[in-house]
Amino acid sequence: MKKKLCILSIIIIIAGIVMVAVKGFNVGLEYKAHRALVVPMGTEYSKADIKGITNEVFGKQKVIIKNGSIYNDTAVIELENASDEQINTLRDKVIEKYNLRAKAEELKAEQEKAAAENKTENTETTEKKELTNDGILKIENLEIPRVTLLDLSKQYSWYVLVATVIILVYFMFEYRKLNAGMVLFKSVALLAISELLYAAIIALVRYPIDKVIIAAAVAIYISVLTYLNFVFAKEKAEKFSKTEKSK
Amino acid sequence: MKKNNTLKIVLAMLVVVLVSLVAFGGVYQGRKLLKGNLFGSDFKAKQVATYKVEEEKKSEEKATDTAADANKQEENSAEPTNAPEPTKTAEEKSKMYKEAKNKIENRLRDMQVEEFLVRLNEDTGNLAIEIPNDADVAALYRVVNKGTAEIQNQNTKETIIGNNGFKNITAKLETVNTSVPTVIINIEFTNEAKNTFRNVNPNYKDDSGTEQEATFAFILNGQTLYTDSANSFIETAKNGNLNLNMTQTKDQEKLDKSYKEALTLAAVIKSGELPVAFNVETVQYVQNEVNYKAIIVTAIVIGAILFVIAVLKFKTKAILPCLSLIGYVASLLLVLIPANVKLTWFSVMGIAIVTIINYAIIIQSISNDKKFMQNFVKTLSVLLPCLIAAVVFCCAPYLELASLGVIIFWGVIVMFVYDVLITRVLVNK
Repeated sequence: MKKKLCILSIIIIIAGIVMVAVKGFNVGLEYKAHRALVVPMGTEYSKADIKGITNEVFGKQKVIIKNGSIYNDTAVIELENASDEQINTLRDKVIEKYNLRAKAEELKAEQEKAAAENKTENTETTEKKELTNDGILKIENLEIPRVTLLDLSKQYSWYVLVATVIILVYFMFEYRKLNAGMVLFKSVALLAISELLYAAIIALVRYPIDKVIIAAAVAIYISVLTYLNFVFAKEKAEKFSKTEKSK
Repeated sequence: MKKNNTLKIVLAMLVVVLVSLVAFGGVYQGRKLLKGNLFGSDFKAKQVATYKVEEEKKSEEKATDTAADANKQEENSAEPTNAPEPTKTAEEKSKMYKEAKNKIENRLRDMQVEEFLVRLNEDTGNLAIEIPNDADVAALYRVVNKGTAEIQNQNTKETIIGNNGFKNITAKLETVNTSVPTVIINIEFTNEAKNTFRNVNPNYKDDSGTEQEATFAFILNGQTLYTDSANSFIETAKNGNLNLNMTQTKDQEKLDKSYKEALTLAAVIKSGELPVAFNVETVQYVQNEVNYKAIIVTAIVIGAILFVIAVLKFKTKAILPCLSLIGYVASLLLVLIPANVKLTWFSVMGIAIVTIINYAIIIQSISNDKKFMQNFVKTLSVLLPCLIAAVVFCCAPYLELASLGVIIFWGVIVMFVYDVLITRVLVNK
């Protein structure tokens, strides 16, 4: 059974390596280079409505909609790419959906009325405000560069390495009667195989890599070390009881 | 004896139910205590700032300047021509952008920003920085400060020490040796800088040719932060250290603000001058979307699977001990509130790890004939690698790893207390 599991693991790891070499990992949208469209509607909106509009405008492209303001009046639409045409269409549909043109015209009328009452003072400001009202809904198209997996792992790798070295030294000392070299080899081998297997499965099923996946990798690392300690402790206890019996 | 045991079991389960209600239901004073937990930016809002490289503007200005120069040269051909600056290759530019990114990351770390993510477009140099919404947003503007620091003779405008002369810069809040709390920046100079101070001329010749004592100034990006007479400056600095008193006040708010500014200043100068200047394009609030229902459903499904496995294997013996794990998770969450632990995806994984370890201890105890405490003490030694990793991670300046370390640490302590008081009673029945 153990042999079969070993062979299966090796096959999955090799398949995973091939997949990574050919296609790479499937990185989640958040970590890819993408655009963030900031849509300041100035009025409360519904995510479902925006989702419906983005489905119409961007089709099957993956879109994440987030709230861009504490007042729930700005949407941030994250997607891989958006052409100027698509942004204009989005703009028009949002204006139509939330009746922003009428609201802008109402505001313009109020400002013109106020300007008319104070004619000499406000001529300049009226002109400026007219210019601003022309852009009823300005959608900002922000470039969000990618984060490489190497960059992400930089934050964790040093501390994981330090912890691993300390734990391996502890294993070699505590279980020296089981042959320190063998203990070290088994520990490194099991750690490497478990993480490679995990990475291979993620690569093969094309699960988008995000923080949860990275956190799970660290969780697997800790679980494997705990399991190794349990196995070595058991082996040591068995060896000790055999030695006692033979005496 | 049997009645005593039954009473103990009932009491233990009542404690489990009560603790779970308090943590998950918020019975105590009607407050949802679980929501009192601080959430990291994985679950809350963040500020996202985007930056563009300033050189694009400057190269356009240079192009118009060069065109204007060319026009002047046509009019007056006796004037010598200026050789154009060699343009950098894409590779060189990419290297500069990466260097700038590394320095910005070092600055954010030194500014004690717990969570940050710096994104770089290596081709254009465009940057994006994400920090939690409750962090100091001013950091997003200060972190891209070019950081050109120098000690200058204000009278002759001569640069005495440049960026390379600063070995280390730290900011501290002095409350012991001063009557009024003072924010101090301590500058440590390199050996070369110390020698320069020993040999520098503290005087200058004024318009009438008379030698006067010069004024030295500490300047950052053209802004004078500190001035003093040359001799006074040299007297302190030639030994390698210079203390600059920034703010003295008893007002706690002003003090905190000034200390943060000093930290930023120290971080900016310590990391060195950025090879590239950046302009802030936008700073945008973004609320992270987390499907809490999915997390809860996943936790319930995994818990249910483990429960069913245990019950199938050990029948009724496993029911109450496994159910008590709900109380363990609730106790851990309650302990995390006063411990001020911020929850991130890493800490959620940490909670999962310690719960599964506790589950394994329970299964181990049920599966053999030994008493729970015998199994428990044996298993605690197995947790040593966990604790070592937890202690190392607690030292990380990154919130995610640190929160994982703290969760594991508290998880083991709560496991010890909870299992001795509650689980032992349910397993030993």
